[in-house]
Amino acid sequence: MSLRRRLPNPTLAALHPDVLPGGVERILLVGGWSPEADGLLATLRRGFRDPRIWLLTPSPIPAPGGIAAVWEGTVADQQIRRQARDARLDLVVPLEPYDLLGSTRFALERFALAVGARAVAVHEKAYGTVRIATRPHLHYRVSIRPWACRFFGGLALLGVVAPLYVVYWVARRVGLWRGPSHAEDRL
Amino acid sequence: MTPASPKAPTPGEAAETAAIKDALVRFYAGTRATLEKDFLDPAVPLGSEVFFRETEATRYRLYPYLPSLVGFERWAGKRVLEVGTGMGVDHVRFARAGATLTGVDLTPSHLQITAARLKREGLASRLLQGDAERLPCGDASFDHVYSCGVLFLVPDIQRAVDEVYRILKPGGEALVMLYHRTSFHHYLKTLAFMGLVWGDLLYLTRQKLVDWSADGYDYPIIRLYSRRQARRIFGRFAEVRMAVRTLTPAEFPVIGQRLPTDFLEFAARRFGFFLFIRAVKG
Repeated sequence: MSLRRRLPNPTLAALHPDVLPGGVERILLVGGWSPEADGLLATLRRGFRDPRIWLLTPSPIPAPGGIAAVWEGTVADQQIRRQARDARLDLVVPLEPYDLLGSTRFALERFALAVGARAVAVHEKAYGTVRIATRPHLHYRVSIRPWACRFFGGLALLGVVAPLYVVYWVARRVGLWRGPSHAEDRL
Repeated sequence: MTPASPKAPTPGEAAETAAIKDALVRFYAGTRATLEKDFLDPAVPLGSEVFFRETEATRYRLYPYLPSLVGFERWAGKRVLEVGTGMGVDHVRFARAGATLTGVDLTPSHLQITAARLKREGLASRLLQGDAERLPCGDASFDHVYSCGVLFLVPDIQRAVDEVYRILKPGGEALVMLYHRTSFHHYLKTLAFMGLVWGDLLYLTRQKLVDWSADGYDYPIIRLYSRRQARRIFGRFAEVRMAVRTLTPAEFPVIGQRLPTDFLEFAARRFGFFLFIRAVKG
């Protein structure tokens, strides 16, 4: 049986008080505050029946309504990590939409694991919804070390992009490719 | 050539198909804007003047080749059906060009948005709620059938394409966009990076990863097609031509923003994510 089949299914679920065993009572929002975040905050408060919510943000701001406290810093700060560990977080929620390939996603998930959070939320801007990625996801994903990610990722990129770039460069030099002409794009 | 009579689905297949369609309707009912989802400010109210303007501007900024590739003006005075009107952006272009229009969509909210978009410009279209596998239209009744980014969601695409064939007049043309399997999006971004390097395949099935990467985690099911598969699906048409487009910097982690736009355009011609199929009924 594959590893994937042994994991709880589904590992991502709709926002709901029972999405994590024992409920969700302590949440950390991460990122810059914007008017959009009000909506997310309301969703979280409604979905999880008034949890305690902290905000980790890079620049100091007065605590918005519904936020217990604002922590100034980043996920890389040791002091922040200690605070987060002490807070015994259930859920870490990025304020920016989840970038599926981005390094911020990677940093956030590693932070969540390091501070013992039980889950990370996936915030999909388009749908105004929050999805929860539970701990098993984190546990297995971070078993791939960042250096290995960079190495194999770099190799994959190089192996695919470099040959194609050579073909492109030659095509350009010999005049086979003169750039796109959208106005005359026909099929 | 006469279309083969479709094989009757088993009760299990029928139930699965119904569940997928139901999930699609529910998904879209809660969706603000599907095609422009990552680019539209969520604060813009659905159906507002800004919404209509921005969705249209965004669509043709993202896909600048679309007006020329579709050739809206070619269909002036002709009977055109759009399968899956979505936000109605392309639909209104056909209407402006003077086509005699019909639009079919599975989702009532899409039809409402399309109707509002048309009304705002004083344009008309016959809008019907319906299923691409059973189009509510008579045989040989359209000169052109257009479907952009819809049929890969249909549980039985062959049945949907057979329906397109049925309702086209002899000599009529279909233009369909499917997601392209042999693409950077699928192999590099989704499978190599998200799946293996980022490790998402450890906890997601390949299908779920494809759904998530293409359009969002909650998408009921998304299928990707190679050129060969598409040629087989459109096999009963007399003439089939294909083009591949759309490759964004987001498909290349780290270096995407550094790659020249011209290179991306070049690579998109072979490894883009959108597979356009123009098929002519003999």
